[in-house]
Amino acid sequence: MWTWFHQLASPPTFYRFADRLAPWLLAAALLLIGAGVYGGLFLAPPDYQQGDAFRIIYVHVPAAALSLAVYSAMAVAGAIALIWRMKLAEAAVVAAAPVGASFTALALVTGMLWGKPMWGAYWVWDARLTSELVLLFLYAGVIGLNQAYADPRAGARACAWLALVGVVNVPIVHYSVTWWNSLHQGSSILSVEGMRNPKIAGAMLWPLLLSLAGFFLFFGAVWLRRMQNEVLSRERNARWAQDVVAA
Amino acid sequence: MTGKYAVFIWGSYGLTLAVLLWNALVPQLRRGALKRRLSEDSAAPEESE
Repeated sequence: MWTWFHQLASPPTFYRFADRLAPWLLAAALLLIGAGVYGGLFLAPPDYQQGDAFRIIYVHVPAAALSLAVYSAMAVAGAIALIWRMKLAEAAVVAAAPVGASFTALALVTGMLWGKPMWGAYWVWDARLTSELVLLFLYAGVIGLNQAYADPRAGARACAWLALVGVVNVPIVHYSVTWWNSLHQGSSILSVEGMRNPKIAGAMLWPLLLSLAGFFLFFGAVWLRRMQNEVLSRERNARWAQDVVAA
Repeated sequence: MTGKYAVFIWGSYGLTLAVLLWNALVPQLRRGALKRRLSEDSAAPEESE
């Protein structure tokens, strides 16, 4: 097992592994997202209070869950990059940031589009919304920091530090609805209590679970693709990279 | 989905589609550009000789 992990940390092995895995992840992701969205839009019944507006949940919740999970993954990769100086972990931090930023922005905008008909306002300076906005700024910081360095390894290590420091915001976002009075509703499924006793009817839940699984697989696929680009760019002088370019 | 919330719902799904497409296409385009640049870089010294 560990031998396999060590082999995978080698850039050429990773590149070939990602080449094989990414298309399958993407295909499975699109299938799951398609099924989840179809179920959410056309099969799930309207909510008794929110009517059809609740259907935004099928894209808003997966985007918001990804925004937190991607930043947490960046922090883990950042710790590995700083402790063991693993090149692949550096590439992982840098490659994840734009994807995480895009899903954080999507969570904010779809939340605004849900908030307007339900709360009467696109934006309120609520703890959940504000901490999620801070998360978007942290992602922007990582992206900017990476571009500010001429040396990609130095840039990636700086990004790793910011990912590690900024990860303190992840539990703040998640628990903001519990710790403070909030307009935003609490977790329906993304909590231990929510898993045990879902606050959402089965007919509304299954499309959400499919959509969540699809979004996470989608992130896996695009993360691998972006990491491949990072690795190829950094290893451009290596024999294997020149073979890939020539192929 | 033609009720009073249609604009908000379809707007959310449209934006999601745009984000998914952007995320799926950008790495492919970057990889193509990167491979072209690297192959030009590796060909450059041979051309100058």
